[in-house]
Amino acid sequence: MNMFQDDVVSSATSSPASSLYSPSPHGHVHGSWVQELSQDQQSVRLVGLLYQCAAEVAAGAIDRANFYLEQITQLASLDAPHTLQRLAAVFADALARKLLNLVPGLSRALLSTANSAEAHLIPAARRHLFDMLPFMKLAYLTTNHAILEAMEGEKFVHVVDLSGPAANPVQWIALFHAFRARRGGPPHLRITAVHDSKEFLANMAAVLIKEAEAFDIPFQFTAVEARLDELDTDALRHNLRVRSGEALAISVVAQLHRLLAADDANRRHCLTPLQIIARSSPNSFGELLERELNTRLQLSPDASSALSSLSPQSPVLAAHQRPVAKLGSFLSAVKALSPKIMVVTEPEANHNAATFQERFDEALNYYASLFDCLERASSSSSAAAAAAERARVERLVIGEEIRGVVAREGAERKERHERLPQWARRMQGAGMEPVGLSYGAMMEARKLLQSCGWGGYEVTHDPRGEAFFFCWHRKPLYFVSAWRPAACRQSS
Amino acid sequence: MAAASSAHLFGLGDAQMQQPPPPPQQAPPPAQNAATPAPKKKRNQPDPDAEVIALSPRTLLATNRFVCEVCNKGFQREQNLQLHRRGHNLPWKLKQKNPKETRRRVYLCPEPTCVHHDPSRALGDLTGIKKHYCRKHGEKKWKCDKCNKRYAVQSDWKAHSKTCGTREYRCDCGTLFSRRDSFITHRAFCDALAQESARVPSIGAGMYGSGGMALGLSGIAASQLHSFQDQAHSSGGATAITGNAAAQFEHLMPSSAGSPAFRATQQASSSSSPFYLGVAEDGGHQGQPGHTSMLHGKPAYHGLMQLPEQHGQGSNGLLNLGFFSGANGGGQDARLVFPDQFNGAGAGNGRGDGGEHGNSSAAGNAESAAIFSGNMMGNQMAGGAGFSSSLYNNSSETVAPPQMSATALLQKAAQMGATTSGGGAGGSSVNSLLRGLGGGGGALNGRPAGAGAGGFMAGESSSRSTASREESESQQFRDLMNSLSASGGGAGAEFSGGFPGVDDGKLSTRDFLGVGGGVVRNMGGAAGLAMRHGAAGIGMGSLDPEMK
Repeated sequence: MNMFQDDVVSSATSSPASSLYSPSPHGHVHGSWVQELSQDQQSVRLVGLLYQCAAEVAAGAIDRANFYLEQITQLASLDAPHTLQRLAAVFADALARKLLNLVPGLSRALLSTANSAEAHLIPAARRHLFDMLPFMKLAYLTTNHAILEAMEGEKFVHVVDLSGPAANPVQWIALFHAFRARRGGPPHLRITAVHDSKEFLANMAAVLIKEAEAFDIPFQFTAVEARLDELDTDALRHNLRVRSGEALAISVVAQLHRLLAADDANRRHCLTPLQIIARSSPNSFGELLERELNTRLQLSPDASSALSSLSPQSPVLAAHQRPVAKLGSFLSAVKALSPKIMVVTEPEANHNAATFQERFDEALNYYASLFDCLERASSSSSAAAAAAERARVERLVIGEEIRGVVAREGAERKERHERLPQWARRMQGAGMEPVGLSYGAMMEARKLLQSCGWGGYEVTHDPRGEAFFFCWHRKPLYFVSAWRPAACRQSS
Repeated sequence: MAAASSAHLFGLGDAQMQQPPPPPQQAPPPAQNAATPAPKKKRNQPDPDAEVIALSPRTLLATNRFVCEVCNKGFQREQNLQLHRRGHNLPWKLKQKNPKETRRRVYLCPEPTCVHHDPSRALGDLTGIKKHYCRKHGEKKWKCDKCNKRYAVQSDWKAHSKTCGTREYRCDCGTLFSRRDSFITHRAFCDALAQESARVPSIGAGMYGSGGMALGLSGIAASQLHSFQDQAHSSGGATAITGNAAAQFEHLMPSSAGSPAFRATQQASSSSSPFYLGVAEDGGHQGQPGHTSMLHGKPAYHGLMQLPEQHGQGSNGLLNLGFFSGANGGGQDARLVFPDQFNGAGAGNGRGDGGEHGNSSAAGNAESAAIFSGNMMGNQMAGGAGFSSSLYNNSSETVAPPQMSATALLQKAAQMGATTSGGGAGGSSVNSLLRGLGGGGGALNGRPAGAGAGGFMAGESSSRSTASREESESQQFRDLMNSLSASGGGAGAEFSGGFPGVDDGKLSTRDFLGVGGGVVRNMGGAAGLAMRHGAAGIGMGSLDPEMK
């Protein structure tokens, strides 16, 4: 963000306020200024620091990024009372990881252990997230409604649940209800769920089978232990156990973006030892050294791409041979299955921008909203347990997403959220056409919001009324849209 | 004569704005037609002569806005208070009803996204709109003990309580439903939840999230602006001035506080700026100094309104005082408190002035918003009005510890970042300082001024206005005030409330340059465009020569 960098330059001459806002990176650091600032001043400052830090991280400037991280961590922590402080802590963590990725060995050694320590808490945290925010419920509800409408009159229905980590048996129990209540009675229903946890699938099977019995719905459950992005698209029909004669519906909640992951950053962001020395020496010698290095390599000092050619493993040429994302082949495989409907829920955000700083900016704003939602949800129940749950959700679930957006690169960067128009282009490019979501679905969703007393949320639709947005204070955070192979038009 | 205005923007508040529906008798200011996409056509206008009344949420929900100073008894209506005052042998005065104007009244829902916010869908009775507003947009304060269902309107709750349990659907989780469809919706999710929560301790979804209006602010505010725009469009053509000018004045002040918050949206709504002129009829509440700002404080526009309220109560502790009083009281103080910072902001002001050319006052406003936040930052970084409003909101209405939402803080930071760099680019000559003040005057003061300027003066350039500001004296300003208060009846008291600094002498003088200039300009402009307002206030025309 240029404006923040400008600050640094002008801080010496302009008003004291602006120097307070953006410290010179080489000024001396004391803890004392922290106490002198009011909460809001701190917060505003924190935002500035985050952007500055992101700029330095993007430039690969370990030394300066470290300087900002030091300051950020003085102001922010994961258990701070202020939403923004917690948000900043999570982002600082992500930035630090990105920085650490410059030294991949270190990063792997440190982070793999740190991550696994808390892995067992993640399912619980997901549950809490599901409870605390209405988005997933709205997504399920809307998806079900679209499926129900598309399956009108069908006697044999196969639903494929590709939601992976975002899947929840609740969605299908709700579908049981809906099918049972429909005219003509429930169809023969088969559900195939794709998930990477055997335990989750076993539980889901048990829950659904029991529920289906209670509802007297002819039901079969198939578990596919895999991740969506690892499915072999060539054998999709086999993998998803698709049979002819069944009407197929596909539900995918907050997962499709993972298929956009491509090794587009196969220039590894590694540093030569000399560079590490240069970047970590705080004095002018470091700068001198680095400038020398850069000139020798004919690189501009601040272009983040500059690093690419420094790595011995990855010649610059590789950029031109970047592997394509898997989405294209997946969508065409899906189209070949000719589903009656494919319902896609995705975060309404562009976390797949070309440059790191764009992604950072968008992510900061997007996740600030999500954190606000969580804060709101946990503050309305006073129990300390709620705060603890929220903290886990922030750190383990949303935090992981943020790390996915901010810290990872290349094929590792799976959280490639894009906005509805981009998705619509992709879907249409793959030969799918939009299926309008009905007014009834809208009403259902609104009713759900109402019945659970969620204030501040709303459901809106896009100008053509084909997709829904789930908004928090007018900011759309998720969208749901439905698709089918364009050829379907004649038949339906 | 009927007032046409979509006063929503500002003060709107509680002032009862009368909005006769679009096809206006007066010719609309020309500039506005060009800028405004064709005003929305109203369908099924039930009674085109009905007087459309827009009440702020606070006013709508208030049970005792009008408080007797002797016995503290509260009244919903001014008239009732006046009658009550008679009992104390206090001076009292009933608002005269113009016999010609006993028209049917219809009421708008203050929630801008609501269909009943559109004058064509206004509701016919006050109780109806109250209930509508509570039910659809209000907090559900009444909870059934048996089934935990919540109601916003007490009578609904009572009615439910009578039948609750007689016809019910019970979910395994223990929740009772009286309606089958809500039971089904609930049950679909409840079942599996219950099963899983056996494994994972969790708090039921229902426990989270309490509805409520205390949310956040900036989002709401922005969107409301949008709807103002709509409103403006739909109310079509002319903007006329009614009521007394004092009311208008009063709108100028509080609204200034809001402008920065709405920076972005205002830009978008530039075409509707002509309508911004907050015109309030309603001599009523003005008689009560101190209370006024509070009333103003209430409308849906949290951002705008809460600030004035704070000012009115003199409890500025939360944030930077200078800013608050400045923002509410009319911007003078704010600017005076930290004139230095204007050096930095000068550039921004300059741009703001330029932007004010033509009808595009919104652009100017937007700029000035930035300026405003610049000021605040200079002062103490305590915040763009948008944030302060949210802060205030939180502190006053939410249970949560007072804190700004992360979203709001991000926006604030972005705003400040922008201003800072703008400031860096700007010069710091005395001249730009002055211009800055002038610009700030127009801007701070308002949105109002902006509104006035945009609407009435259409093409007047503000470079001219800066000059006139520099010439004008605080004395003139006082004159203006005097004349306003003289003609405004009870408005005098209010004014002194609104402008605490008026008589403070030198300190404020510079400020008044800006304020006075801005105001004058607007008035003058209004007169120039031959907008005649009704009997109630002062002749605009008379102001014009005086100020120039």
